[in-house]
Formats: sequence, structure tokens, C-alpha cells
Amino acid sequence: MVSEANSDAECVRKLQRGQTDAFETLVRRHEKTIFNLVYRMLGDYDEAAETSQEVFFSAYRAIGQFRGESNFSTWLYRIALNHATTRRKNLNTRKQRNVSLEMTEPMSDPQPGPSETMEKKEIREHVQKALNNLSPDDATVILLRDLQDVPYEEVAQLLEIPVGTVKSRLHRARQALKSELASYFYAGRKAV
Amino acid sequence: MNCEEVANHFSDYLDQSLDTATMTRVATHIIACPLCRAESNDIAECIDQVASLPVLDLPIGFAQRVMAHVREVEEKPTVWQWLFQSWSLKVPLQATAVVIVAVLAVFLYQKEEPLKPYNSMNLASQSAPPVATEEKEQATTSESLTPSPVSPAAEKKPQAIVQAPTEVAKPLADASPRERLSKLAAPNQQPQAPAALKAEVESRLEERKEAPRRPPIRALEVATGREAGPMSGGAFGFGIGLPFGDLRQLAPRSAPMALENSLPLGDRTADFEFVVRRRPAQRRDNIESVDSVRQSAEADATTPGFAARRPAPPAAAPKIESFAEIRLYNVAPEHFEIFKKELAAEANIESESKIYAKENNSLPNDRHLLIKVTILQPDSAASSR
Repeated sequence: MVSEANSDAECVRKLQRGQTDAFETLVRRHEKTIFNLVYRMLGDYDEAAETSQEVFFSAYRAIGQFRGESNFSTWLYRIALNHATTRRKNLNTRKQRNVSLEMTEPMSDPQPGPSETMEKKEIREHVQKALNNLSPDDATVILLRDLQDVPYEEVAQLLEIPVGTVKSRLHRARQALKSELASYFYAGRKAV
Repeated sequence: MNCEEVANHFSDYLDQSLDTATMTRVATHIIACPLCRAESNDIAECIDQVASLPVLDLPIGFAQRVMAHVREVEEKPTVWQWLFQSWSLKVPLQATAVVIVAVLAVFLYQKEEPLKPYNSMNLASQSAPPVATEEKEQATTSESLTPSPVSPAAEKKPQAIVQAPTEVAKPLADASPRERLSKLAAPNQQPQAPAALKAEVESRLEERKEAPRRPPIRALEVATGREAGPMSGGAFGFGIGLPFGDLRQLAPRSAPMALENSLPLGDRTADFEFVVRRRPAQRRDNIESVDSVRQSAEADATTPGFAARRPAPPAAAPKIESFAEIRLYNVAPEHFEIFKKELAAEANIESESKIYAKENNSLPNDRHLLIKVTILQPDSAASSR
């Protein structure tokens, strides 16, 4: 982890000296994480791809302003969350946030059985819908902590709020997510 | 620890971020309380569901597209480079634009009629009937010798007469020197023996070919107070011949005058002002008879076309009506003395004032002098002598 951070810092230094190829290393290293974070924020594959490209363009343009006070990944997360939040607001305005996971979400898991696939797809669809119904702040903290497994301290640094605030916000966000998924879980439990 | 307190610690309990003592108390309560246990399980399931969301593969070629765009942006010049490049590009463009605007301005300036306000500027109290009479007389005498291209226009309105020189100027400019001389001579023909005049023209043409040339005196008549008046005299074409061929001659403005460019006065003040009085016709005849050979030889040696333009003395001097005339000339500073001499030779200089001296006592060398000449009628007493 430390070596990766150093590697990020080294790539950033090279990039700041004008070696554009170093940016490719950073892109390849963080593209999947950023794309998935953005995708879970937006719930739309194409929008997520476009927004992720914008995130990296913005990072490239602003790389001169990166002073190395935080990890490059944290800095990149912040850019990604800003872009995703803005895009999400635009999508909400246009009311085009209908998620159709069947059409857009490619499966990277090993091929399961047919019944298992249907159940997983249904769960994912509900979870994604629940995430999309959360407020951006709640969705952000859940995705950073539960999906990306970002430490509390880094989340606090990223969102520029105290760690205690992160914990309380996470608790509130989980309660909200549970409420969103309550009907599904209640129905499943009742059926069982 | 009650259910409410435990509920506040669910997230930390599931993240195992509580201290050991609190963890133990929360765990004890959850085991004992089915509601809190159910709630804890639901939250844990939510966390698991989110954490188990699959990691999606990126679109194919995502990194390549990003890098292609980055390299494209990299090749674009920075703001400073853009400014520098545009500066190097804009300077010639702006210079070209300035030149085009300047040429257009000069073109438009030259195209408009500059002398319109001055065409009607006649300070003399001249009356139309005498002018018309004189013009008719001149037209008659001209037509009796050679056909004049200007004379038909002279019989029309005065405005038409003003335009006549311009119409004549074109063919003159394109004509050969010999043709030009003959054309120029035509309107100024006076009642003189045609054979003698032709002989004189021919002889002076020959002389001119052999005589050393001096640069022609550039005197541009700027404006006159009486454009179509009978006093115009073709000899006032200073740029080609002597400036004051005949101040006393009553001839319509003719072709030589048309060769000069009339310039607008604008707000410019004359540098010199002369008040001259025409010599009476009788005396002019005397002068002509005495000095004609010498003057014409000098003039002809220096100015092409003068002989042809120089009008012959009329057999009978026409009556001069009472009027005054103001003319303005543009003369190069080095030609001022010649201008003055020839003015004195042609008319009596009654007064001379140097207007430029009010501002600066030195003669301006950087531009042409604007000379205002007020031509007065011949003295009746002298005329009767």
C-alpha cells in the first residue's frame, strides 16, 4: 500500500515535470475504482464512462495544483465525487435516472447458475435503486466506506469533515438504505 | 444499555470500531434483544449487499481514450503560447487591415467632389449677361479658327462649363505630346493668323525637342472664385506651362486647365496672398509684341505644350466687364519665386501679403504653398491710355 502510494507520488512528480506517459500509469491504476464509484453514484453505465473520462481529464489539467498533502487516490476520489454529484443532479433534473441493470451492467463474476443469477441481479437492482434514492451525501459515505472500503480517516479527509461526523453520517446513511431496502428484505423474509 | 443507545452504535459495532468494553455491552444487548438483533442483522445485510456489488469492467479502450484526449490537449498551445502565436499572426493581419482601410479612405476621399463648395464662390459682383456675352464672343472666335471641344460646353450653363475640362482631360492624357499640343491649342485660339500660329507651334515643338529641360513647375490651381469665367485662360495650367499665360485674355476655361488637379481647400489658410490687376488689353498687346519671342522661348524650353496652349493675342480686345476673381494655387516652395516673377510679368501686383509669417517667419519647406491671387479688373484710366 505504501509502495503504491509512493508510486503514485512518483508518477505525479513525473507528470508534473511534463512526462505525460506517467499519467497513463495513474489512469490504469485507478480507472476501475473511479469508474465503479461513479457508476454506483449514477447508476448509468454510459454516463459513468463519460463522467470517469471527465474525472481523469480534470485531474490531468489540475495536476499542477496537487501538492501531495494527501494521497493521489484521495485527491482523485474527491474529483470523481464532485463530477458524479454534479452529473447526478443533472440526471435528476432530466429525470433520466431509470436504471436498467440488465442492459447496462456487465457481469464480471464467474458464471453462476441461472436461478442464482436472477436472484443476484434482482438484489443488485434493488440495492442500486436504493442507492440512487439516497441523498448524494449518504450515498457517497456508504459507497466510500462499504463499497470502496476507504478508512474513516481518509473519508473524513476526502469529505473534509471530522471522523465523528463521518461515523454519524454513515450510521444515518445505513439506516436510510435499510429503509429503502426494507420492503424487499421484509418480503423475502416473509416468503421464507 | 437500552435499545436506543445500542441503535446508535450499530454501525460502529458492525465496523468493529468500538472500544472493547462498548463492544461487549452492545453485543450482550443484541443477543438478549430480538428487535435489536433483527435491526443489526438488517443493517449488516445492507452493508453486505453494497459490498457485494460487482466490480464492473470499464468500456474497452477507456484508458486509451483518456490518454488520446490528454495528448490532444497537450499539443494544444497554452494560453501564453496562444497569445504569442496569435500576436505573431495578428500583427501582419492588423497591418494589412490598416493599409486596406487607408487605401479605401484615400480612394473615397479622392472620389468625392472636392471643389463643389468653391465652384460658386465668386466674390466679384459679376453679372450673368456680360459673362454670357464674353463667352459667346470667345466661342465665336474659337470656332472661327479651329473646332474647340470646350466651346459647345461653354455655350451652356456655367456648371457645364466647369465640367468641360474634366471631359477634355482624358483624351489629353492619352494623347501623344504632339497631339496634346494641337488639342491644347485649339480652345485657346485667338483671332490670329492661323498660318502664323501653326508655324510658331511647329517651330517651338522642334525647339523643345532640342532644348534642355528643366523640371516642370508644379503649380496646382486649388480653387478659383470664378470657375467658368472668361478670365480663366488656358495658360493657368501651371503644372504644364507657365502659370499666368494671360491674365488679360478673355477666353473660356480650356483644356490646359483641365490638366491640373483641383484640390479641396479644406480649412487650410493661404500662405501668400497677392492682389493683382490685369493689364489692359492694349498694353498687353504691346507687351506681347515686345516680349513674346523671349517669353515664349523661355517658357517653351521648360514646359512642354506651352506654345500650343499659349493663346494668341486677340485681334480686337474684348470688353472687360467689372468683376474680380480669386484663384488659389499650390506651388512648390522652390518654385515660388518663378511663380511670383511670372505673375508680375502677366499682371500688376498691387499688394502682397505673407500670411505664413504670422505663425512662423520661415518659408514652409515640407509642403506646397497655397497662394491666393485676387485678380482685379484692369484700370479704366490705364486702359484708355
